[in-house]
Amino acid sequence: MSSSWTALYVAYSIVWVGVFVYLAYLHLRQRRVDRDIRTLREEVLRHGK
Amino acid sequence: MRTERVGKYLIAVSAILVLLTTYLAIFYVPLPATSVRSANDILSSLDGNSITVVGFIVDLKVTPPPGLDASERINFTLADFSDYQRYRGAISDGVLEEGWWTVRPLDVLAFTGGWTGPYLGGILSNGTNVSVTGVVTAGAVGPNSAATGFHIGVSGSRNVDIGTSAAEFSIMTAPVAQKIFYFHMPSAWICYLAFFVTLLSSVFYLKTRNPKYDRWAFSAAELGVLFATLAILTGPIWAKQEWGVYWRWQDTKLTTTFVLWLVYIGYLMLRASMQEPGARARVAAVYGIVGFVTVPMSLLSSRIAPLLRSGHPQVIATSSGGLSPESGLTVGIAVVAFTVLFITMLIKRVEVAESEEELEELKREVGGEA
Amino acid sequence: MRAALILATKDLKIELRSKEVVSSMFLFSLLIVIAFRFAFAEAVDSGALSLEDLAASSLWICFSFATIVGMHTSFAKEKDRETLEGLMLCPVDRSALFLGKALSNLVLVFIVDLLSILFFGLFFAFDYDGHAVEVVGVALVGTVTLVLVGTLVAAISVNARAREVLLPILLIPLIAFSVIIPCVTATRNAIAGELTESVRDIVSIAGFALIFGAVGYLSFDYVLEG
Repeated sequence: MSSSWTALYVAYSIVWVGVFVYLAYLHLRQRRVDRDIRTLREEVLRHGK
Repeated sequence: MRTERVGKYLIAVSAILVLLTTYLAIFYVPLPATSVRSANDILSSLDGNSITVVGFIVDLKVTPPPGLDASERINFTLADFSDYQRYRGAISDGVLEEGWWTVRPLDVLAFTGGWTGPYLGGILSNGTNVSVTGVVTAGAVGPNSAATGFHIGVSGSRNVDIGTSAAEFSIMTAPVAQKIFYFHMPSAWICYLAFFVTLLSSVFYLKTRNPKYDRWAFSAAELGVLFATLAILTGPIWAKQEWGVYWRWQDTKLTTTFVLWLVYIGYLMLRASMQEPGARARVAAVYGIVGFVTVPMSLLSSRIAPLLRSGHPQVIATSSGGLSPESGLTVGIAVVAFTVLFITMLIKRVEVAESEEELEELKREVGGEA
Repeated sequence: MRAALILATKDLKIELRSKEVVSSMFLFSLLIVIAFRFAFAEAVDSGALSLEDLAASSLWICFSFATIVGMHTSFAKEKDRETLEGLMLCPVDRSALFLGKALSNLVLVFIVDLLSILFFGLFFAFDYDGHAVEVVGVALVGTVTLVLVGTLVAAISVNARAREVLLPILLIPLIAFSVIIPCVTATRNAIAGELTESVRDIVSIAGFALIFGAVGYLSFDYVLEG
């Protein structure tokens, strides 16, 4: 009985964790890229073309 | 900036929907009547022996509960959960009706009696004859009040046909792990949807050569692989509870889905091993189109491909009946939730890809002029 | 169509001179047969695994792997000798190029099929229970599908960095259900003299041949561009 509940929670956790870890990963990736773009633009502005 | 707000809003909505699905699945939906384990539980609670009953269908003779006319004596069968609805219809009228009856675990208060046959302690083989005798004391069923319940005299025997539908294997109720279904099925559905998006975007890419479509194609493929992985991971966890094993190669659905997963892993690997964006997009688009043949193969495998005998539960039952209303509602909400989630993630993923390409472009410009 | 034939004869002429593809494919499949013999020695000797079953499964593993070896060389050679550009400059349809390559590959793989069937029979003293012709027939149908999808995937993977590894990774999932499983079933039925039981399998193999052929024919233009 309890093993069945464990199975249920394990499965639900896998889905929740899988989905939201992926979303968090996307978010971090986006932030890093945005930061890189910003710094690159600033560098270009500062040093001229 | 505006798209970012939309993204956040969508993430919140999909999180709430998935949360709602989780709540409904755990607290709202009753378990369908199919179980190996609960029959097992009842038996072991009676004599302390642990007996593995893999499952069977039994014709049951019902002795009328007290207060019911003897003329209404009927034969009925402990059936799989696809007959759940008919059962509900029957009790709502307050009389036992002719037809297929399901005794749910929730209804069963006790079982006295026993199963006889060679299945005890082992796994049933095809064509094994089993018989059941005993009395099921059921609550919430029948003309008496839910509190008092009534007795169902149980006797009967039937040849066991292993390898039809997994759902038919058993009696009483499914283990609670059955509720994994409400996450497993939507994940699988989303992976098919995602690969379909990949197919369409690939075709559009080849037609228009607009890199936008390439971004959609591989973003959808990546998400498809994610959801296929979730479906492939959650399935066996359920299977272990229901079938006693994590994986059955006899189940075409499992194997075709696994192959599908491999195809799109290959798609991602192909992309990873090519540098030139134009060639990568073209070649991957063609593979995205060829690879799609595995999607209908997996989608329809439990229906039309008896290459190997499949025992995968069918979601959309071919016979009338199907899911209970509660179950149907939850499945519906789950599918909506996962679809919204998928759209959210796809938009996010495409945005990331766009930004990364912008960065690459910028680097090339700066590098070129420095 | 004529262009396809000319291209196929070109490939076959080159092969006739060097014989390196067929010989490597054949040796490869021979090694697989022998590996199977060693791996399942006990099961075969004790009779737990019948020769019929071993033949059906190991032959199809041979055919599939031989196809992978053959397909790989078919495009990689052109790429390495930089004749692929030349081919692409030919004033013919890319679709004809696909058909030509598929045709020459079909001939080569089918030769290897025949040799494998022959040597399996000799090594195991197995006469296919008198149904060798049916076995060859199933091999031909399956090989057509195998070669059509193989040619397309080989062209897809030839531009990738890790093409040797990538080809089987991309190809095997595609052929698992479309070729290997129905072909093994059909071959087993053929040996048992019950090929009529496998009409469904044959139809499905042919159906996949049509699908893969159509996709390859229509999209080869995009695969070999630039």
